[in-house]
Amino acid sequence: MKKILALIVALTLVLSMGMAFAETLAPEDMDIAYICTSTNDYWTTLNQGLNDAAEAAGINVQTSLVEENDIAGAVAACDAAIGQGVDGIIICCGDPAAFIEVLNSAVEEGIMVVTVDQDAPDSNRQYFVGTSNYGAGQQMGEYFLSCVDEDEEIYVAIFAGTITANNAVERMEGFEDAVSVNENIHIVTYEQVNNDVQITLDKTYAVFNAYPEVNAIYGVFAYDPLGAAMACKELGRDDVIVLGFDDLADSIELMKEGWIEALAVQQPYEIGKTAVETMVAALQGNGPEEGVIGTSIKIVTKDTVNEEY
Amino acid sequence: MNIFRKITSYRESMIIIIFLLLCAVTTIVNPAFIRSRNLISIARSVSLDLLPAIGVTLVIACGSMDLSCGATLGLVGIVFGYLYGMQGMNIWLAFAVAMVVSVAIGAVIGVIVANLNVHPMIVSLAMQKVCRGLIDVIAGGRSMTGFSDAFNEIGQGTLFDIPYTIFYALVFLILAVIFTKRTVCGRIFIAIGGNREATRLCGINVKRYKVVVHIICSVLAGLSGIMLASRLGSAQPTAGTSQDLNVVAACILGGNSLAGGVATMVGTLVGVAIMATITVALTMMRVSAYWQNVCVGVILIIAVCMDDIKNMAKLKA
Repeated sequence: MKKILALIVALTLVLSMGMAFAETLAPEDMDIAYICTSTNDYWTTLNQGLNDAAEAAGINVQTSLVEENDIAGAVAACDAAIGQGVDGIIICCGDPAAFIEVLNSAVEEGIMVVTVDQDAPDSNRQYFVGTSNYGAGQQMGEYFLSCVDEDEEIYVAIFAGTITANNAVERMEGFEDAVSVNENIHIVTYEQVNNDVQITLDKTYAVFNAYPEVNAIYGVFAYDPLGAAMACKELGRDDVIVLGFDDLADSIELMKEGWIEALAVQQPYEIGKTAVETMVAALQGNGPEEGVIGTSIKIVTKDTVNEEY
Repeated sequence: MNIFRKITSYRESMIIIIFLLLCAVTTIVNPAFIRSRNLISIARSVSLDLLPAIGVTLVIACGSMDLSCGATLGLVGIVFGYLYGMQGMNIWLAFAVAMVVSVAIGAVIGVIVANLNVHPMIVSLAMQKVCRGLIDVIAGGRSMTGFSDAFNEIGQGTLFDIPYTIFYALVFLILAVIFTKRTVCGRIFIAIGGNREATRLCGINVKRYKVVVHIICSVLAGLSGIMLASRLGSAQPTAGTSQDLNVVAACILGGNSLAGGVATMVGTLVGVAIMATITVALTMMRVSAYWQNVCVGVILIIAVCMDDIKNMAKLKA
């Protein structure tokens, strides 16, 4: 009897130690899959932050690049990563609903899931690192209120690279909620511009013809304010206020020339870096308590752009 | 009645009627559609898409297919932008290197299609992936800038308020019409598409012409990429992403046959014009962005069906 008891205690101790070790992976043993769904300036910088943090932590990150807006492809890549038995997945969820099942499967397999930039909040993912898109939209809306006269009738056209993308919807909602306090600001149209500068340019021309009253354009993705500002410059429409997201080099140039009023600059490097740091900490049992780790935006205006860039 | 029959006897007649109907309806809903500025804007969009469309028309006429023209356009633009804009290479040398890349893309597709039993759709799809990947490798998601004002003027300049790009496109269109109707090479492309075996038995080196047609297609796409870079003042990594399929759709819409043996450049022009006009028209008619893709699809289906019904009626007569 005593021997049996001693054996049970010893086994329990050994199992506990084993479980403790299993909970804390050494960085060099961590196998992380990163599924990247876009390749513009913003994502290049985010990837840089992610890779720098991975190198600093000594972890192995396998990157899969999926076609932009290819939700099915991203889900399949995530599935493949689960099949490979990775320890963690970092992914941007282009559509919050489409990723729920696959992310839940990953979590069930014991995989740590960190979403970046666009979240799947209804899934069981453990962490999200990114800009609060609604908050960013609100900040832009509040800034917009400060640069228009209260009595002036303002007609706004909203452009979105993908009008149904979750982050686009949140940025639009935040903006609209902020400007709704001014009854003289009217949102006249929402236009999808496919994340293509030429299409945005052509669409801006069409919008000015369809809605001659438009005197402001709010673009929620990186190429949206760029294409709109290019069109305004070609048409000499310096009466149109253009504002939007992300500090592409071309957008900054146009802002310096006065064609863009303000840009919400996210912190993509920080997002990538924080995503990896969160993943490493979580896999070692020291993950943050908060599941949502928000990064701030900075509003760069045409008055401050020369100091910042 | 005879005049009406004569007009509708042309292959392109129905698609031209559909295009005019589209313009008419849009004008009734929003008269601003026929403002010169708007029409010029549409014409400029058409001019940028027309070059790759001419190339794809030749490929389809020859009984082949190319789904990589958008990706080729993007890659060549990026290569040119990288060498000339970012690295300060001599513009003509950068242009030559970019054209070599175009030729290489077309040659690879053409050689594989001509000599191996691989469907051109698969080869060109694979090449599309390769080109998009190379864009990521070279540009890393960034646009290529640093062009001179003189270079930007090529794509942004105007003559009597008409963009230069429209004039370039017209020249290429005229050359393409002459090529397909008056040159031996153009007629051989069409003959190969019409009956490959008969053409081969006539002593024509069909494989060589298949390679040549794919090279021409890629070169035209490459030229368009450089023109677009000039138009935007920068080479964008996302350039051409919508052109791969849209250009093919425009060619078919214009009356060119997927089976080969037909090359109607006027039809291609009208097809490209319809594709460029639809989204502008829907915006000007204030159709919700959420419904625009549905409407584009419905209009294209109606256009293709009406054209097919007309052709079937002609055959029965």
